Amino acid sequence: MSNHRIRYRRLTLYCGIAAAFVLVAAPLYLLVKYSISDPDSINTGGAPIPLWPYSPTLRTFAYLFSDSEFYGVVLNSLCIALATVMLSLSLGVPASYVLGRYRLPGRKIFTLGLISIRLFPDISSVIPVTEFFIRLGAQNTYWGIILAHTLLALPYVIFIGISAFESIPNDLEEQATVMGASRAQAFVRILLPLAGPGLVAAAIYAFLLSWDEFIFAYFLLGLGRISTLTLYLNQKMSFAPPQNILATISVCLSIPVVLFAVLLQKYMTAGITSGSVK
Amino acid sequence: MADVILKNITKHHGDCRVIDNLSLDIRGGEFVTLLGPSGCGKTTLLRMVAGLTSVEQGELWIGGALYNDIPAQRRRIAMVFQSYALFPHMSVKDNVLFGLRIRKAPPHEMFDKLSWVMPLLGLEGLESRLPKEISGGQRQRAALARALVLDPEVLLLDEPLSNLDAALREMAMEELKRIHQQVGKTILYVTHNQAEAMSMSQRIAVMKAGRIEHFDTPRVVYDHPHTVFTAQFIGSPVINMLEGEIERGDGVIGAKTGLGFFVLDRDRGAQAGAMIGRRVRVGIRPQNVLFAPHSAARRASDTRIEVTAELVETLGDRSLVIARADDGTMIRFMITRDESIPAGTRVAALVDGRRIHLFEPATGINVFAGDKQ
Amino acid sequence: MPRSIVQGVISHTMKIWPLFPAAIYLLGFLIIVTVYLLGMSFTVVDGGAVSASLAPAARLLALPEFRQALVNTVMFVVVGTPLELVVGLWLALMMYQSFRFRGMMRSMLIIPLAIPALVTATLLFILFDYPGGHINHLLMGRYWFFPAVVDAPVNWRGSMAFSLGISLLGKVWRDMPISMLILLAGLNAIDPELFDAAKTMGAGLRKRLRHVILPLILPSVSAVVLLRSIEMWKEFIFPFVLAGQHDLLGTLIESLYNNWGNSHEAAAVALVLVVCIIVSALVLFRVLEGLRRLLVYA
Repeated sequence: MSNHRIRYRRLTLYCGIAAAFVLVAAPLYLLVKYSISDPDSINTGGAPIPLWPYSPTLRTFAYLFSDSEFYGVVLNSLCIALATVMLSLSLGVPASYVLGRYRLPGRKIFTLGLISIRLFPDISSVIPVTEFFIRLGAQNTYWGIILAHTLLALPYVIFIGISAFESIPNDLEEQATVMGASRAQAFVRILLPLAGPGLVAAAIYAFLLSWDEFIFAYFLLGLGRISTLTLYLNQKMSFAPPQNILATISVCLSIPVVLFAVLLQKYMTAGITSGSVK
Repeated sequence: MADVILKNITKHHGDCRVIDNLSLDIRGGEFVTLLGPSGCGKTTLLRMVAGLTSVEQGELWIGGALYNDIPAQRRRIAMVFQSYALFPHMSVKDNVLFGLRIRKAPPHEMFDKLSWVMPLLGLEGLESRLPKEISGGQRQRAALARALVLDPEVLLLDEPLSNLDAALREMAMEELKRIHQQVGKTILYVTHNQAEAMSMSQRIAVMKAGRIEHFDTPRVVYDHPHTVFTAQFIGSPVINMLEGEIERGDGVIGAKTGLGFFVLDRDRGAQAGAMIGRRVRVGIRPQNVLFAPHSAARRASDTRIEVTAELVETLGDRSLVIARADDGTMIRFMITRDESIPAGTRVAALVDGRRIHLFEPATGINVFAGDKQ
Repeated sequence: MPRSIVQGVISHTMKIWPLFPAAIYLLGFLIIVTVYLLGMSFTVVDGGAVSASLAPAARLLALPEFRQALVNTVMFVVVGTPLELVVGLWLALMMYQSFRFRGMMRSMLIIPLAIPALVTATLLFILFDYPGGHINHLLMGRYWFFPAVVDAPVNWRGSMAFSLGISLLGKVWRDMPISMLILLAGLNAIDPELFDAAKTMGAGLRKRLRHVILPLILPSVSAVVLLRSIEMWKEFIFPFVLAGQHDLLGTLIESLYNNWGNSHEAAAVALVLVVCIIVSALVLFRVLEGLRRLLVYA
């Protein structure tokens, strides 16, 4: 191949990468820009909206953080997400331990059966779950939304957990047994620490799933006394508030997610690809 | 220092019979090796003694108690796995102390055990390292240390040296032997490497297809193999096997083969006198064929053969000659580094009649079985 | 013998009991969801009495909104799935090359997936504002770096095509990392020696693409098409935020349930959606399998 063609190809590649960069970065930039915009940079009175605010300000953040309603909502989202993590881990870790460690007959099909609830679209399964919860008296309650979010997170936790436990060599567990450890001791001292990173990933996955979940929160909590951050954002939007407030809430909603996602890239990639490519 | 007695043990994996009505009697403090090719059931047997695999039929006695239904964690047995199975998230010290912690040993005991075992295995200074931070040989020793501190009645070793390179393996073999002499534990060692088995064990159990072919000291197993399989598995280079027939010639008894008439020594010749006319398989170790270009037979039981050298493989201090007789029979023998045979030359050699083995062609059993001199 | 069977069952149960809570939870909900969905779709409640009926289904078929939503959703799937594949393929082929800052670029490209869908929808809501959003100003040529394309601001959310279009845009933007990662994994799984082997056998670039790369990444392409088409059917948040009056099946379920109070019809639409997904997945699977055969054996 000639030198000229290689250089030409290199150039196309870099142009493509630059385009991809803009495609991802521009919306993120605009979101942050809106969150630090002053009112004049939004209601420009006919002048083009500036690409950088006239006088950037953190006042919207300050306003939001001085609002007790906002605090309550953040606290709600946090509590619901943490409870979801606890419940889905305490159900999912033992299950993935069994599915990942024992070569049970029919294990694959059973695992598929457990995960198959996720084959329903959320918007389809939310109707039966809501009706069921109304009958149970679980609508507009914390435990109702926690149960629902656990339903969404648990299949992922089991899926990630199985591969975490599967990757531990059998020898280690047997060695612990020969050295006198009971099954429970081998689990706590050997398997759990070694599956740790995978299980942490599963926990964070569950946390994020609950943190930015909207559909079940919307149906189960609606406009009731309990609100979450996603519901709060949606509710604000329907009242057509200044765009900088919407953007600021959005930034608050995104920050933990983006942080975790960058940290967890390895696991996210593995999770996405392992399930789909044979 | 417990004895281990296996009585009529049978085990299946699905339809496959892995252990077939096997009995074995290991004395307390003995170093016994289970030797065999992969898939012969030796690891299954070891796991049975450890309690990781259930005993299907038969009895397992350790130190005078029936152990069939005692779970692994309540047996006073230690095991070193082929992979070493060091816990990757624990330091060497924590690995070594794991079993004692599980047993809730008092701190002073843990300290005593640690300060006894670490120098014994040359692990001083590595206490706080993680398994991935130490070398292969150190890992092997750490796994051994972890087994020894539990003061087990029986120590089980599953191919512990197979992940080491040749030089390290030699050192580890010496060390294992030294440690056995010092601590005097009953050791059950599994390997497919006959050199390890020969150099370390007090007795070797040669296994094939879930059965024991021969169980005796290394010397007896080498000099008087019970079966063709044992004869072929033990010793390097591999023993020569020829087809032949027992005959009387010139007043002596011997075996007639394509290479000539091999005279037996007097004792065995007398025994073989009753078997004249029977077909046998004749086993001759390469070491028992003496390259003798000029000399005549020195003993009455020596047989002189003439063959053509086809290939010469250098093994270092000695060379292996692969030669063919006039009728096409192949034979392998050794020469020293000072001797040299160009390929294609016709050479003469002496076969030591005292060291030839005769086996039943159908069963592969030594016709002199039971005779150990 | 019976004793040993009982013992076997007991010892097996002892081993697998930690599985039970999660299994009961998930399978229980699976049964509840299925039973309620079927039950509600084929019953009517009349003064407290529940009776089996095809009325929800019949009313649904007569509903123009339902037919429109079905057509919209099919369009959404038909346009969105290939778009996601193309964008994913483009990104994956770029990330397959080696260049400086590739690791950073990869992390960067994953961010859209990390941003909650509701946030992305909110951002599009702001950007496509009428009359004064960023996009309108851009297209009207108010910025120095972009020519004027339209004379007057466009009411994006007022038009069906535009509002569903920007929903699709948001959906594709958010999900492109998934397509990229799956395709990239497929590319990375190809042994580079295969390319060299093909080269030594005299295959040019086009032949290598046709006979080596394409057949080998076809499984990942199939995975992307299958998974992404399912996601397109399921879409809810983007049209919910951005296409208020113009329903997909997902948003129709919501408005039937919350605004019209017709829970049984909502359940019937939910069931239709599930059936659509199953049928489309099966059809696509057959088509992709046929395509693979064609590529490998032709």
